[in-house]
Amino acid sequence: METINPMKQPDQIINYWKREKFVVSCIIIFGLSFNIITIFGPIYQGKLIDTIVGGNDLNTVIKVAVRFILIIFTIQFLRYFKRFYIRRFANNLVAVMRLMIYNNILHKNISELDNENTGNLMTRAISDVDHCVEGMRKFTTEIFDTGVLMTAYLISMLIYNVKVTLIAIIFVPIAMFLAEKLKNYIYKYTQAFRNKSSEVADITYDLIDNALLYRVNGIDDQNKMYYLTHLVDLQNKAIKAHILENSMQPIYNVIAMFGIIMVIYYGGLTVINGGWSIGDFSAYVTMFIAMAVKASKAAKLFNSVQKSRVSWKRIKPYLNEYQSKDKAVHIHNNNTHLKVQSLNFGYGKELIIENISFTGIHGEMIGVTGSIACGKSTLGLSLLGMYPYLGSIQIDQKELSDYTEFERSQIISYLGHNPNLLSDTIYNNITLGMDKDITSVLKDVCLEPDLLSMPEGINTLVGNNGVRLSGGQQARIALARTLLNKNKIIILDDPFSAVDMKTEEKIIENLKNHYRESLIILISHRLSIFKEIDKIILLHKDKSVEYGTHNELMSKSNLYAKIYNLQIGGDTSEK
Amino acid sequence: MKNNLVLKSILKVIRKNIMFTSLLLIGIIGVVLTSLIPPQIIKIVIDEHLIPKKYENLLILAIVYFIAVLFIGVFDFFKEALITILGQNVATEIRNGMMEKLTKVNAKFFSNNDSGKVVSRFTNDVNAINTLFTSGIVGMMIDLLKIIGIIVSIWFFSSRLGVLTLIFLPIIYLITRLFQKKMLIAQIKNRIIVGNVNNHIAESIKNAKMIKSYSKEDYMEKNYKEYLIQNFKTIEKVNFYESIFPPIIQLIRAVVIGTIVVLSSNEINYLGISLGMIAATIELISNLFAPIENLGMELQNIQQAISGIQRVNEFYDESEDCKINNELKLIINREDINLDFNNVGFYYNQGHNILNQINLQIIANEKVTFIGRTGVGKSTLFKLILGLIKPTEGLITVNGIDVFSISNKEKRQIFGYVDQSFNIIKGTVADQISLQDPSITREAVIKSLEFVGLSDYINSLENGYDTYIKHDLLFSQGQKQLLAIARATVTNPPILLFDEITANLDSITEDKIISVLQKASMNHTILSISHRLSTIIECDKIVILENGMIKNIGTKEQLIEADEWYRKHIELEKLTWR
Repeated sequence: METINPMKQPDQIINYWKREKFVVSCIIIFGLSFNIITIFGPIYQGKLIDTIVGGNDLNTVIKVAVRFILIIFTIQFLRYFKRFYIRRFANNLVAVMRLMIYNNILHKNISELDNENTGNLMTRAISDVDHCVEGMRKFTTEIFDTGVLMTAYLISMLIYNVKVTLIAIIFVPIAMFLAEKLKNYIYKYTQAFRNKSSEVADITYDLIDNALLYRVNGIDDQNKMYYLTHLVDLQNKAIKAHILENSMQPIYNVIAMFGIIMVIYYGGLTVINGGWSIGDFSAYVTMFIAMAVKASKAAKLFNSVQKSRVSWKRIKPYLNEYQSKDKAVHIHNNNTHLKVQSLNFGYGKELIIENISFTGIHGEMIGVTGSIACGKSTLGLSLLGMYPYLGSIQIDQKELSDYTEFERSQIISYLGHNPNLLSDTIYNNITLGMDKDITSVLKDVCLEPDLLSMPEGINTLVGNNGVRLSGGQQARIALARTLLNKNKIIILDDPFSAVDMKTEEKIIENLKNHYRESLIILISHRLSIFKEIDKIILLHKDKSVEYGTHNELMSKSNLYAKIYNLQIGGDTSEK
Repeated sequence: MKNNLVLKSILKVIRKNIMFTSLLLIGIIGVVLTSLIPPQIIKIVIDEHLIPKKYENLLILAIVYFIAVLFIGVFDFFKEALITILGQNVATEIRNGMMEKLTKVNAKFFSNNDSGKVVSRFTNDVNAINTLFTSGIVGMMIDLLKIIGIIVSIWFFSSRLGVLTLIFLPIIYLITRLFQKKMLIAQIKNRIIVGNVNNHIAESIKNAKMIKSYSKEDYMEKNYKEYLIQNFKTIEKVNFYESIFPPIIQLIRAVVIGTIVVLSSNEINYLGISLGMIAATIELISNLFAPIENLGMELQNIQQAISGIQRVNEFYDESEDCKINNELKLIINREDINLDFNNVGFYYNQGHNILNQINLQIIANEKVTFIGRTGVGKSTLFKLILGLIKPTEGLITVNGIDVFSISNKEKRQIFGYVDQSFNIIKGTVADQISLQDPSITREAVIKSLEFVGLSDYINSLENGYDTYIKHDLLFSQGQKQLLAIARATVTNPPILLFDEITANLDSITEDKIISVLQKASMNHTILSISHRLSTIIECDKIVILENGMIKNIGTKEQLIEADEWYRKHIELEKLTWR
């Protein structure tokens, strides 16, 4: 498989069989031929025994033995293909289901994703898919391995002897019927066990995560008892569920095997009366036992299909039509005009920023600052247009919300506190799949000296969340990513908190010199970098706003001047 | 391993359940022995009835055959059930032992270990050990016995056939192992790829905003597809082995049967066995393959569970606080409580002292604030006061009693601790305050929630104080801080510790918290870490820490005079600038 193609109507379960036409045909061909020809195994085994009874010469015996082995070889040869294609079917299903779910998750809008629980999504995309496919695979297999095979056995047994077969066979469906009836009952207990098991996992997490809290408050001894009672409950539920699920199979087998009395007695009589050879007797007994074993395993099939049904229900909402972004672009490439008018914004009912207005054009750098929790980050985020806003944000005389998501991403680059590094190389983290030269951005963010000390250079792997790099390196790689496209508007939310002052100054210098076509919005609490900025937006805790250049604010804003002087006077880079 | 929790737990369960254990042994032996009976009956039927054409007693033999099947079923059922019961008991025992350990383990453990990983030791590792016990060791025992039983049966028919089987046995075993090893290699490779797939999903969800804002959905999907294709390819390999292995085994079985028949033919008659024996041998040989196959899997299970055992035992070996819990019921008059720091020093790793030579006396109702840069050891100092960790040097005492020796139960009567983050525990709103301590009455809970001014909000919830907290969003950041204060003050302890509590709050909530704190500061000795608190509660004493030592102590006025760093700092703080 070189690629995985998305499918249409992934929420219809039947489409998964329809989609795999070739593989499903192979399963049908090999499933049918294998299961029908399987009955010749016991039959020829019987014939083999009969050659000895007949006292045949060595040549004949060897000939029959070789024929027996060849027949088994053919059966097993077909069986290999049947097994292989049924597994490939499952393998294909897992891939396409995972792809469809992933595509669906990625194309949810941001507020939908905010409401989703990551752990939940992971379970859907991983273990639910596995359970679901497992059930679909078993179901497909057993149509042949149970349905066809049992029919084939039944027919050949009837050919051997109608009366014996009819009497002996009654108990096989009884065993299967019982297994099918117990299915819901078993499901109830296994579900109770699973729920308890995840409850205990939750409790364990709570007790471990808050261990010191409990210790400080002297609750630890009491919690030990509490934990033990839950463990005992879990134990009892596990025992019930496991016994029902696993220990019942021998019982089904006993029920299905009840007919063996008839088989041996009437079969023996048939041999004595000359109706059967001893080989026929042996073949018949083997077939009957095989059928009984198959019947006793039916319960496993029922349980797995049941489990699959539950998983299918859970993933179905995530199986929608394949989506891709509209990539049509209608934007002016030169000259950028940003006009924000009475912008109000909040995530819920409560507004976090109110009545903000300013304008900006390419080549400008706008500073945004304010005290803790004044909404400066929120202002930056609202300018991305991912969430609905009140008021107006116009870029080149067009309202931000009228641009498509793709257009917005081509107009605005954003960098927040989180460097959002992926566990990949530095180069891939910066280019995100584009084939671009990154030398100039690396220079702009002052990463070159760091790269010299890395033997792999830009191909260094950054690790999960970038753990293999220092905070400053992570921040600068993320900045390089933001700068790579030289988008019309670049929004940087305090990207320098992990970078030392000198590097910070150097980077800002580079931004000013090399990104003259862009409008840069820089959010920070460190006022020293605002000295040479023309436009500063100062947000107050009471949601009022002051605008001006550095010099203007120094003279008209008490707060601004005070903070600036305090920060210039001493190193206040922490807290 | 000196402290083998796993072995201890297994032995304990066996000792406690002697009855079950012996029944299990009976079940195992029963299954092994009864499974040998049916082939013998087939032999008798063929040799003594079908060939001589005698039908007397045929029905009885048929019934005996079924009874044997019945007993196999019954023994098998009991064996499975008993293994489950004992296995689950072992799991409970191990988990209980681990929880016991958790309450004693050195507090350091929690800063070095991620909760998720510790939980996985409690859940996944113990589950693996459970499988080891049930389908590993016990299963292996059964399969070995089955193999021995079959060989002995065959040996009885013909010693030559017995020898022949013994020759076949290792060949079959080696082929089985070869396949199992190949499969394991492919599976291990696949596990790494599955890890990549999972990680990619987690990463995509976590970085969704970034991906969307850069319109990189296609890029992420392309990478995801690559992982899926790799996954597909390795699975395809596993599938090949899985598909071809059982057919090969069946083919070997056919070859063995063919050989036996040829060897027993009249002309060669090497084995010298009757027809009935041949038929029985065919069945016995067929029964031989399953236990051999299982044996390989069981070995593999055991290998895999061993790392689980090691992780559990390692956890059980973590160092403990050697605590002498003085249950001497401290009767402390809150009017003359005093807290003494006597030359206190602390390090996690020798040579890297976090705190050094801390000397300080705090008297009843005094308000003291500790300030200093991040990482200066303020929070460590609080942990020392709470007796969570033991000073590596010196002593902290409450009225002369070493805080480290005070039992956890009594601590809540002396200290109330408000953390910078409020940990929501599993349970209802009331449980958040009482922590389900039965000695804390409902009235006390309600009173303390009234004290922090949350009772109106809580009464507006669906079930009031009994509302079960399902997710984080029920309380705002500020309300969580108030809950934390209620939790700390519910027992009305004389000493309150506030750790950085008003960070990152909007002004309205902050005002509310400030007024609660002011109320709380009456009648309590208060120790706080924060810059801002120094401006909120009237402070008697401000302690400036630098490089793990006390740099300066004094009142606000004194320090504004004497310490330039403090002066600037307090200004920025007033403006709530970070």
